[in-house]
Amino acid sequence: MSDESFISIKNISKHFGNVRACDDVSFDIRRGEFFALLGPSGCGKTTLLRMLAGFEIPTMGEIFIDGQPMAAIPPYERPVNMVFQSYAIFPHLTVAQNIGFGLRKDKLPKAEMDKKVDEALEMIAMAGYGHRGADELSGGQRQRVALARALIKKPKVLLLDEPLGALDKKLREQMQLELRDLQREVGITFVFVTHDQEEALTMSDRIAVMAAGKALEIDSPVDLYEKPKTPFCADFLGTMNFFEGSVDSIGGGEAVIKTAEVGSLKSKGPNMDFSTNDRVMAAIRPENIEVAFEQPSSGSFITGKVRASAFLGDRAHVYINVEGRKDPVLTAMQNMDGAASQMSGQDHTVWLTWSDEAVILLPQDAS
Amino acid sequence: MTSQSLTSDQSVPSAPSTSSGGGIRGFFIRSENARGYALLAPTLILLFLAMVIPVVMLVARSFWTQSGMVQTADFSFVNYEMFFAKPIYWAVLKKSLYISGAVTIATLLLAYPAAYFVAFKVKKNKLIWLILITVPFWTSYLLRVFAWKLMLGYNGVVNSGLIGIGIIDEPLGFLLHNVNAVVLTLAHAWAAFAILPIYVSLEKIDKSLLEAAADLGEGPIRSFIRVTLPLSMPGVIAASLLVFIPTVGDYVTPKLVGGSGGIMIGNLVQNMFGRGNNWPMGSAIAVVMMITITLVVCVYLWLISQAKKRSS
Repeated sequence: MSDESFISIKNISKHFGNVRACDDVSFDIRRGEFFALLGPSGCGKTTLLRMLAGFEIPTMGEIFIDGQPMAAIPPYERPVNMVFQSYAIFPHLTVAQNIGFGLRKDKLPKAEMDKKVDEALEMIAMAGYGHRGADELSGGQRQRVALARALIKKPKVLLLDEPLGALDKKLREQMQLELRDLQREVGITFVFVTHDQEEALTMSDRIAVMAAGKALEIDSPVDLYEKPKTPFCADFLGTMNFFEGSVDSIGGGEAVIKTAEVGSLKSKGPNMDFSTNDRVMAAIRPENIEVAFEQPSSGSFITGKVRASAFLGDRAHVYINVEGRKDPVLTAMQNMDGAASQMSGQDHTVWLTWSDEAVILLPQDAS
Repeated sequence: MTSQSLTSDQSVPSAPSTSSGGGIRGFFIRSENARGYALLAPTLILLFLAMVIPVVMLVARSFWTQSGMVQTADFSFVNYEMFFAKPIYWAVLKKSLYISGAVTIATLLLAYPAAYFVAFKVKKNKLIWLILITVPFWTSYLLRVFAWKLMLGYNGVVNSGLIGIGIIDEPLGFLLHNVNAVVLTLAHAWAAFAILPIYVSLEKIDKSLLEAAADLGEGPIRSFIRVTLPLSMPGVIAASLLVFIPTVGDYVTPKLVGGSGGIMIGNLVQNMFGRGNNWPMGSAIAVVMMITITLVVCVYLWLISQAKKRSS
């Protein structure tokens, strides 16, 4: 056991009848890490979290936490605690009783227990709420109570199942930062499940992107976003323009891709493990495409016509029809000095340019 | 969404309206209460005719006196004086309360695991299980009591079975015609009335609460004591009242399986209206019984509210 593999998930599969919720998943989670399991609903992320908690038993494979095999350990003896999606606040108990629920086994004197509960209330900025009933709490407060109730046990790992899903947007953004700060403060390994890619990018040290029961890629948010290795991840995190093609030439950190839609594309992107004639996807992020109203004097470009634009306040998404391509090319521009208003009209002819580094090559068949 | 539409439903008719017009129709549209009472009216009328009037008559008659075949409609406490003067009445009433208490406890102990099983362990076809629980009600109450007579009798199923497999040589005499037989028969007869409310309250428990209890370190038994049981208490309380109140006055079961030791207050009332031919006295016993049950239930509910206060 090392800090690198504080939690070790080894060849875990979970079948529900014919459904493979998890299919041969293996990866390690580091000690003290804020780790996200990200994927669309039904990808197996919650099942995996529940197997860490002990609520589901793996059909195959094994889980180690801090070097200890978990197979024979029931949920109530695992060194993990969970924040449930519904928060699961006990409705018949007060806030203080909820938070102190897990302390019974420690057999503390009452004064000491009360002190711990008070400290926990302080931590979640709810001092003085101890005597309130569970039904007198708002959504955000319930979330905090669930958090305090789990953290008071000082678990080795805190599991969070869509912890912010029930909150409105403003509160969610605030709680994202608070959770992040709290995790740094207590230094406990957090594993959290979310389907919200923005939330995963904001909060986590590393993200495992899951789809159809498999963990496709595990990396830091920046690397996942900038150097995705599968079309699924490229598409799921943020948005992406894909151009199908095949490798014309490759070598020396450069590749030329022949595409049917926009002709040849040059790439100096991160993935270069391809050989000539491989079928690939050339992928370009919308924000890496520059839109010009006049023909650039040099470099490669394609031309198109503005089809529609979506004004988002701080930025605008502009959809551009390109001759020979079915889907419009999506570009994103900062709304600096009202730049987005220039895009409001339709049928402008525009020139699209990008740097060769922005063109990421991805395998076509994977996922 | 629903709360919004609910409040708007209520606020529209109660707002002063000019378009709804007058007459009975307009009155009903405007008045929330009128509509409520109109819906209740058939039940209220029936309750009034079949419950309130008889109870008033019963109370009135309990102050009459009877000598021989003649009832005198003069106001008198003589029946109540008799009730408290003769120890037999009070003793039988106390015994009835004791038997009903025992029946209630036995029924709850039998019903809770059954309700728990259907609520938590049955995954498919819960409805079939619930229907199976009500199957005993497809025959008459009387037949079910007789069935127990056949089971427990001197030459009954239990005795001949035990003799058949050689455990005993002679039939056991203590199975029938005593308090235990009454408790057993009543507990079986009222089981469904306890299972269903407990099932409903268990079914409502959010399963993630039980997972949370396990997650916070409590094994199955402690989770049950700290989470499942307190959350199912509304069902348990409802079940206990549903069983206790009607069984106190039961007279069929004690008559058939209770023997002389299993006599209950209902038997005395029945006797006064029948062979004893003293309706005023029977009415007085019935009134004392009703008041006693009401007091017992009030004390019970008060104790529960005290326990609740102390725990939070």
